[in-house]
Order: sequence, then C-alpha cells, then structure tokens
Amino acid sequence: MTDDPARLTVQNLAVDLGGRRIVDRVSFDCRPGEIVGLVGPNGAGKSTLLRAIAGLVPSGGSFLIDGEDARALSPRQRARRLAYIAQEREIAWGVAVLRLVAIGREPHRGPFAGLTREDESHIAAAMALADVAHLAHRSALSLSGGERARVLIARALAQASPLIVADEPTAGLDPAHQIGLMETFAARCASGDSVLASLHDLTLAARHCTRILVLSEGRIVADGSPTEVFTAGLMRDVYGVEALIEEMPGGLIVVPAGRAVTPAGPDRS
Amino acid sequence: MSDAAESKTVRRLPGGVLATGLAVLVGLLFVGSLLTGPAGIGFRESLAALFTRDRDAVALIMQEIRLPRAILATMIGASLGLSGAVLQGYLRNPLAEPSLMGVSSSASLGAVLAIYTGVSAAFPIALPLMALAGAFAAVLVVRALAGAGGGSIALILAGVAVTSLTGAMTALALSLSPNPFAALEIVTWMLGSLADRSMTHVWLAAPFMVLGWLLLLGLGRALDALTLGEATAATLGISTGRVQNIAILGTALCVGAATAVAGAIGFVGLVVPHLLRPLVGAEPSRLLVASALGGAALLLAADIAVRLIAPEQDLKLGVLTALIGAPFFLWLIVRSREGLP
Repeated sequence: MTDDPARLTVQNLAVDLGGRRIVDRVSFDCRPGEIVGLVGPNGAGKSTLLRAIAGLVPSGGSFLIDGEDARALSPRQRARRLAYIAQEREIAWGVAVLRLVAIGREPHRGPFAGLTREDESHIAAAMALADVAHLAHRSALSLSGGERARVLIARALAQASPLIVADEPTAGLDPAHQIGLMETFAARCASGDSVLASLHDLTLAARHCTRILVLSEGRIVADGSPTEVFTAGLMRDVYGVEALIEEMPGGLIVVPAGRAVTPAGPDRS
Repeated sequence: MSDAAESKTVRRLPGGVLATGLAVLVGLLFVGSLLTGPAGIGFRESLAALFTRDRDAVALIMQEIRLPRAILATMIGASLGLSGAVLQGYLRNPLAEPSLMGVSSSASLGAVLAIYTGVSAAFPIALPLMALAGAFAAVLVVRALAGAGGGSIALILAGVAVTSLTGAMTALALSLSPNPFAALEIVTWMLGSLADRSMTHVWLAAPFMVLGWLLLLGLGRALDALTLGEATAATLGISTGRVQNIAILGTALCVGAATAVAGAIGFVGLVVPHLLRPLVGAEPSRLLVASALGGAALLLAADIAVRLIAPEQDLKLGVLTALIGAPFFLWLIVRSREGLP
C-alpha cells in the first residue's frame, strides 16, 4: 500500500445511458475510515454513480480501488475489495438467514471449497454487528422490512471488503433502524473500512457521515464536512427548498420546511 | 405465537440423508422398471438374464428392451429435474422449466421435420440428430433474441417466443403431412414415450446428457449468489452472463438429447424442484443433485405406471406426466394467489 492510501479515487467518471449523460465527469476520493454520504435530488445520478463504481454499468474516466485500476481487477478480485448493497432488497428463496449471510463469502471461497473456519467467523461477526444473530434459522422470506435490510447488510459485511457501497440502505426503515444501520457502518469504519452510501434523509447524513458529496444533474456541486456542505443556499439551489439547519449535540439537523420562493430546483426549467 | 415462529424456521434434511434416500429410491424404481412388462418373467430369472451371454428370448427382452428403457428413463428424468432446478434458480422463478427455453419444442420440431421429410425413414438415426440440431438452433435464437446483457426477463420472453413459433411450425407440419402414418408418428413424438427404445438411443443421448449435467452441476454457488439478484451476484464476483450461457447450453445439451430420444416430456422439470425445495432449505445449490435424483425417480415411476395402467394401449409417458403436472401447476397458481409462503 502507498503512503497516501485513498480507498477509492474517482477521476472524471462519466456514465451515458440511452444517449443521455447521467453522471458527468465526477471526481472525488474516499479515505479509509470515512463514511461518505452521497445526497442529491431524485434523478441526480446517485444510483448510477454507485452502480458504475460497483462495476454494474459501463463508465468513462477512471477509478482506483486501493490504488489499483478497478477495471483491471477480475470480478472476484473486485468483490474482495468492494461490497455493494443494492437498493432493491431482492431475496428470491426462503433460505435460512445464516445461509444467506454466508453467500457474502462467495469471493473468498475456492471452486469446490466449503466454508472454512475463517468464513464462519466472518459470518458470525457480521451477523452480530448487524444484530441479526437471533434470526439465523429464520426463513429469509419471513422477515420484516427492517430485518430484511439488516440481513442484507450482514451479507455485505460478511464479504469483508474494505469498501462498502450502499444504494439507499436506509430507505423504508423506521428511525431507530436507520440510526442503528448508520451506527453499524460507523463501527465498521472505526476499524479502517470505508462506506459510500446514497441517502435521502439529510439529517441522518449530516449526523452520521464524516463527509457529504452533493450530486446534482450528474455533477458534484459540493464536497466537504456536513457543516460545510449543508447551507441554506445549497438547499435552495440544489433541492429548491427552504430548510432549517440547526447545530445540535451530535451534529446538524437539516429539515426542509417548504419550497423555495424562487424555484431553482434541478427539475424542468 | 411460538407456532408462527416455528413455521418460519428453515429446516432441511442433512445433504447426505436426502441424496442417499433419493438414490435408493431411484435404484428400487430402476429394478421395478426392469421387472415391468407384458412378458411375465420372474424376478431372479429376469435379473440373471441381464448378465447372461445367451441369446434366448428372455435375455433379449431384458437386455434389448427393458434395460435401455430403464436407463433412458433415469437419464431423461435426471436431465429434466436438474435443468428445471437450474432454470428456476437462474431465473429466480418457481414457474420456470426446461420447455420454457424453447428447447423441448424445437427439438420436437427437428424430430417432426425428420419424419415429415421422410429422412427418418431412410436413416433412423437422422431423427434424434435433427432433434438435437433443433435444440441447438433454439439456443442460438433465444440467445440472440435475449441479447448478451439481456437478463432473465428477456430470456423468458425469448424462450416463450421460440416455443410458440416452433409449436406452430410443428402443427403446420402435422396438417400438411402427406400420409396418415407420418402424422401418427409425429403425434407420438410430440407426446413423448420410452417404448421401443434401444441401446443405440442410450449411447446417442448419453454423451450430450453427461456433458450437460457437468455444466449444470457446476452452477450451484452462482445460483446461490443469484438469490440476491443479478446486480448483487455480479458484485460478488459472479459473471452473470457466463451463468446464463452455461444454464442454457447445459439445458440444450441434456434436454435436447432427452427430447431427441423420447419426445417432449413436460412438467417433470417444473414439479420436481418444487417438491424438493423445502427439503433442502430452499438453497439453489443443494437443490441440483436432489432434483436430478428426484427427476429420475419420478420418470421411472411414471414409466412403470404407463405400463401398468394400460399395458395394451401404449399410454404415452408425456401424457401421464402432463396429467399429473397440470393439476400441480394449477395448485401452484392457486396457492400463490392466496399468498401463502
């Protein structure tokens, strides 16, 4: 590893889908231990950017994972460095939760190898961290929405990749589960891992992320700490809303209060 | 409350127990198939005749008629069960089955064309070969229609399109058929049967089927990963395009070969993975071997049944499996409509 070990370095990343530029020359980096919150209005290109970084859609520009060209990595090598949590919480069959979490070990297993002791310990640790150990023998299709989200987080944690890319991991969760999930990420980042997650709840992003990226119309329009990024001006310009922004113990509170008087939202000029 | 929690708990038989149990069942049904037939031959006599070098009538019946029939039922059942389990796992759809890929219907069309054009009358081996060619043509067309990155929905739609087209062409060949005997033979082929097959058919189908099994059995862990959807599987290092190619190529090899020697036999590939899924904790990888054995057992049982129910009338195997399979299919639909797990 180098002296300046950026976990993820994105340079001029661009994605065109259906002849339209969805992500436009985005550059940023993400260091070990950081929880980077990716925010921005609907259609800003957050999901597409995350999917491009996860290697799911073709993209231009370059991005490095731990200093190596991500496109030069084999799918398995990439999987050992980057775990992706999809927005759709898809589970096709009612397999036991324990077996579902074990799927996260796939990139570490040999062609016909069973689960090793090391695999088992990663699975147990991931289930404990995501608070799903008590669900181990439950059918994955019998879980509540919150349980399902946590089980899928545990699956990604078991992958033991130093970079976790999560697409709206808190969507549809109640406040306690949202905070619990961000705390799970924080615990993981405390040991040097990094998380890049798109979020819609700005207060959650402000209080639990170490850094905020704001994406608007495919471009990054702000990059910094929550207090640097979340300003009344940005909320007007990017989201087209007036917002209450208050410093509170534990971080900012960002509450959209109403539409901005001079609409400057990204949608439909 | 505790009852509800219990019912949500996943239980499965230990892998070895289920596989051993199914293998024993296949073995028993295999022997049962050998002992079933119009010629009343005693148990000891018939089994001894399998291994004798004499060329008497009993030895001929056992070695030339009943043995190939039992072997084919085992191999075809295993092919249908295994490919059904793989396709359901790949498409993440419990209603998927081999015929959905258009493989069975295209192989049938190939066989029907061989009969229709009279090629099969001149060269009997042309029939299974043209059926195999039909299966592979179906795979190429389905692949082209679905596109390289088409995903599972595109694959299903392409399969349905090919199935209806080849079905229509088969019906056309049937109505244009110049003589009634060819038409009768075509119908027989569309219904599926294991009557009057020889060891030639076994040797013809076996290489394709074994290759297909090896391809399909290697997909287990990729199918497990696909439980989480194609995007997540891809980020776990699974090449979903490769899985798709192997799944349809393996299905074409073993189901194409099965249809080439026995005609279209439906519903085994649909029903067997369903019946066994609860016993393997719903894990796609554990379902593969179990479904292959279960398919073999079901088809052996069905083939014994057609001989016991109507020894004189030559009841078609495909008709019997459809008679069992269609009500099962309806039951599946009703159950899913009621929203039960």
